[in-house]
Amino acid sequence: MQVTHDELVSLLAAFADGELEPRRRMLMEEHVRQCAECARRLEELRRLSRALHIWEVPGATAERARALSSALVQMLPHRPAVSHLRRPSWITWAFPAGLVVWGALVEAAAVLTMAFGLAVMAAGLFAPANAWLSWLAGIFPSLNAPGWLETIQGLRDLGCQVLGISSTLPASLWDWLMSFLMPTIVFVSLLAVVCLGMWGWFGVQMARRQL
Amino acid sequence: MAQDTHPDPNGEAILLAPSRAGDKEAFGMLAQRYCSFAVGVAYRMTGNSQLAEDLAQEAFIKAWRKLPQFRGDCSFRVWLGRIVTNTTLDYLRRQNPEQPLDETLLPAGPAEEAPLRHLEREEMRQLVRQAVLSLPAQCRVALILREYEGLSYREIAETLDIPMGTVMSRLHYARQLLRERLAPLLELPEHSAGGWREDASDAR
Repeated sequence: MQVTHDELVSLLAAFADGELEPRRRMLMEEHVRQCAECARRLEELRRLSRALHIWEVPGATAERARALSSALVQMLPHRPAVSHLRRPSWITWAFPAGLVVWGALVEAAAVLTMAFGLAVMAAGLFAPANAWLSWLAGIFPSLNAPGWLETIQGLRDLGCQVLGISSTLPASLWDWLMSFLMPTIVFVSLLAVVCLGMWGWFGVQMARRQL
Repeated sequence: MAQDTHPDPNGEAILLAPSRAGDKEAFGMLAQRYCSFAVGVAYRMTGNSQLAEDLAQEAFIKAWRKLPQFRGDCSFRVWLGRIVTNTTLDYLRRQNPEQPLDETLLPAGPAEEAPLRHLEREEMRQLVRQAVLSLPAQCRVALILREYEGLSYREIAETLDIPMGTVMSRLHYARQLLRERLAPLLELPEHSAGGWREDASDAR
């Protein structure tokens, strides 16, 4: 693999810090032997690193560390045993679990409603009563193909049988379902997903801030 | 157990388990082991040794309170480093509430002066101290963790909760500034009379 001089220069700091993986490290070692400019830059980095250590922490001795930790032990507040702290209260899991279950149910309802509505539309039992349905039917003309028709009619009848409703509901009801109820459900479910995401993100951020 | 998922090169698990269970003496031994790390980071962030010890104590007390939540998905040093750096950065924010931490807090060192040929050791120390403390806090903390505490890029990224690329760019910027501000010192010979190497050679 051909590596340019500029690419190698950009890796110099990582090389000086011992952060390169073996293959690149060998490549860099070879390059530094041949390139006076990179050798000079590398020496500058190492020289800077050595110079920084002139500034030491005053009084940093083992005795001082012992004294500080002894004083710390006296200052530590009482803390309940870990087993009590780690036991989750019901609210800890019930709230997020409830949100997740609710969100999943709403999503499932939205998807089923949409699928059922599309099936009805494709079956041609009811003419699309608004512009949105006409637009959708225009995009997916294959939904009107004969093979689909029987399949979807069968699915629709089965669905109606399971739900215990009539398969000959009035067109106005389907229209209402498709134009009002379904977008509402989709909107609410999307809102629920956004809320869940924000809730999770906020929880993570709070946990980090507490550190 | 979750805390076993991370390598334990320092054998600290033997102190961590009782500390989590509420054993103050075990936590004291753990603190003793990491005292120079915590004080070192706080000292080089603030430039004040007494304040650094206070901040380190505060960080250890926070760590004691939060220890039951430590799941071992990073090393204890990284976890503690996160607490120490947050405690120190919070302190700096309180001291300079209107000064963003990515801006310079102190004036730069005497980079524009003519090269100094005969710096005394104490002057050299002050020059380095001033140069490091003049770095923007976010760059300074990355540099301190790398140069003084020897953390890897990955460990710094985990400690500061930033991507590896950001670690590298902050280190690059910090070193660039230091090269300019320490030019008088870096131009001196390392080993000859009046040089600085002898003083720092055993520091790493």
